[in-house]
Amino acid sequence: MMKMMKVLPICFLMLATTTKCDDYLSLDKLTDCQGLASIQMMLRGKISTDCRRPRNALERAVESQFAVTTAVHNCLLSSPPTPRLAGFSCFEIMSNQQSELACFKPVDKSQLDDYLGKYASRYRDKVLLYLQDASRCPVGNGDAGAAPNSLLPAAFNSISQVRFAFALQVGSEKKSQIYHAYADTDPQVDSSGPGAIEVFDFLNVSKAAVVQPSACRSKDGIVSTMDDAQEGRRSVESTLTQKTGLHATVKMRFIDLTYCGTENVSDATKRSDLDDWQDQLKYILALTDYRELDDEELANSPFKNTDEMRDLMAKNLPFAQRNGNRTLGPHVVFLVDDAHRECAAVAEVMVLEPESEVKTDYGSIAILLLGVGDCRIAQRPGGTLSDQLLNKLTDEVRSDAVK
Amino acid sequence: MNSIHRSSIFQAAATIVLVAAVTVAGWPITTNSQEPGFPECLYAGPGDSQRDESRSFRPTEHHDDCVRDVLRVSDFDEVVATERMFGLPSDQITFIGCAAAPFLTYPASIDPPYRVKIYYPATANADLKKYVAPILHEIGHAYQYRQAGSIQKLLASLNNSNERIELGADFLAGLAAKRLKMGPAEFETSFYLVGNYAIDPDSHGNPADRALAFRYGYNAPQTEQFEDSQYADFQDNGFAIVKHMGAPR
Repeated sequence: MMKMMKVLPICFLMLATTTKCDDYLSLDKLTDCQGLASIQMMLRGKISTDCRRPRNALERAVESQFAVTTAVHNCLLSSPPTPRLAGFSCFEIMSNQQSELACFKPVDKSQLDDYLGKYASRYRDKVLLYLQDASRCPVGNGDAGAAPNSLLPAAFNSISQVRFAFALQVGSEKKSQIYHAYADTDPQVDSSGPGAIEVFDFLNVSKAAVVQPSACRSKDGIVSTMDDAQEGRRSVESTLTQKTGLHATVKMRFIDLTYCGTENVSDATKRSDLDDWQDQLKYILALTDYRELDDEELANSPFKNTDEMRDLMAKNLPFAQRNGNRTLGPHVVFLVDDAHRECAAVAEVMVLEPESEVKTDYGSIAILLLGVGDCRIAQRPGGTLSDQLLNKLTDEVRSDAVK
Repeated sequence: MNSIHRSSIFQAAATIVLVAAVTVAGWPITTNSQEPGFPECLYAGPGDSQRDESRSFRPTEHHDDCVRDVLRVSDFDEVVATERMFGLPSDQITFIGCAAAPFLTYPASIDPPYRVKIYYPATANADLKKYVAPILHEIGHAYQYRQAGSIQKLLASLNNSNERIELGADFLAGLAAKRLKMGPAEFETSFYLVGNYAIDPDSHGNPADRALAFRYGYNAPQTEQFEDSQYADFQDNGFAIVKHMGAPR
C-alpha cells in the first residue's frame, strides 16, 4: 500500500506531463470539408431564427457591436452549426451584401505562446499538412495559407487581437473566405477567462466589392480620396438620437491622402503637414458660428480639455486597433455652435497619422458635423451643418495638400 | 450656454468619443528591425535544422559533395523564364547541387557583372517539383544582389534589415510565380519557405509575413514586363504594410 501511495503521485505527474505534451492547438477547422459545405449552404439561406441571449462577457461584448447599426442583422445561434464547432459561440450575421458565421471559443493563452515559441519543433509540419489538406476542400478554391490579422471579423476587433491565422479562399473573386485564427482577448472585457480565443469565420460575399483604382495617376504630389461613409453616418445618427432623445443630423467626411511623388517624405513632415491642415480647418470653422468651449464649460464637461478627449478616444478604440500602426493624431479639434435655441451643433476634426514607413500613405483627415434638435436652419447653405461648409473644408484640404 | 445645450453637446461629445473611436478603427487602410547579423550568403530558410545547416554550410568545404547543376535545375522552364523576367543573364548564375546544401545564394564575383552561385540540396530521391518555389526565392536574391552590387551595399540600402532582403525575395518570387501561373500554395506550403516565429537576428520573417510578402508580389498589377519600380514599391510601401498586417502581437 505504502508503495502504491508513492507511485501514484508519479503517475499523476506523468499523466499531467503527457497531457501537456499532447495538448496541441487544434488545426482542424479549415479541413472540415463536410462541415464547411453545410455552413456555406446555411449562409446562402435566410438568417436563423433559433437564437439565444449572450451568456458571458465576451458574447455580450460582441453582440453590443451590432447594436450601433441597423443595417446588420445578427443571431447568436442556440447550437453550433456543425459538430466541429461544438463549444463555440457562433453569431450569424447578415447584411445586404454579405452573410457571415463568426464563432469563437475560449482557449488558454499559454497555448498560443507555446505555438509561437516552439513553432519549428511542434507545429510547422502540422501547419503545412493542415494547409495542404485545407486546400483540397471542395468549398474552397485551393488557395489556403497563412492569413493577415486584418481578416478578423470586425465584431471581434472589440474583444481580441490576432496572434496568428490561416485562411481558405472561396470562389474566384477572392472576396469570400474562411478564416481560422487564434487571438488574445482584452483583459478588460474578460478578466476571468483563459486569455485567448480560437476564432472561426466564414464570410460569404454575394456582391464583390468594387476594386478601387490606384489613387495615383501621375508621379507627382498628393492626391485625395473622399468617403462620406453613408452607412456609418446613419449609425451615428441613430446612436445620437437614442442617447439624446432628440432628432440628430450627422455629416461625415473622411479624406485619405496618398503621396504619389518620388521623393522620400519623412513621417515627421507628414505629421506636421497634417497638424497644419487640421489647424487651418479649425480656423475656417471658427469663422462660422462654431466656437471653442471656454474653461468654465470644460470644467463642467466630462473632459478637462480636447487632448483628454483625444486620449479617451484612443482608449476606446477596439482592442485589436489599440496598438495599431495608424494612430489618432495628437490633437482633436472640437467646436460647438450653440447660437440657436433649438439646435446644438458640434464640429470635430481628427487626424489619422500615416502608417510608418509606407511612402504613399500621407494620413487621413476626418471631419464630423453633428447636430441635435431642430437643426434645419443650421443645414441651410452657409449654416454650421451645411453641405456647403463641409465642401469648403474639403476644398481647403485639397487646395493646400493636393498640388 | 444654457443647460439644454450643455447636456446635448456633452452627450454628443461623449457619443463622438465612442463613435469616432469605432469609426477611426474602421477607417480604410491603404491597401493597395532588428539588427541583423552580417550574412555572407542569402538563403531560403526555414526550419531550425535547415537554418543551422545554411549557417554552417561553406561551399569551399564541400567540394567533394557538390556537382555543378547535377539535377539540371537551370533547365527548368520556370527558372529560364524567371531569369529572363528579372533581366538576369543565365551565364551569370551558376547552379550547384550538394548533398548537404540548403537553398543558398552566394556572390561569386564582387565586380560587375556580379555572378552568383545558387546552391541546392542534391539527394537521390529529390522531389524536383518542390524545388521551384525556393529556387524562385533564390533568383530573387540574385536580382537583389545584381541591383545592389554587393551584400554590404544591399544591406546598407535596406536599413541593414535582413528581413527586408528576405521578404523582398519572397515578393519577387510572388511576382514570378504569378507570371508562371503557379498557385500560391506551392510557395506557402513549401517546407523551405514557411518561416518561423522565433526571434532571430537572421530572420526571414514569420509565416504570415512571408505569405503576405509573396502575395504582395503575386497580386501586384500585372505589367507587360517586370520593372525595377515594382521592387522599389515593395521596399517603399509593401514591406511596412506586410509587417503591420501579418505580425503576431
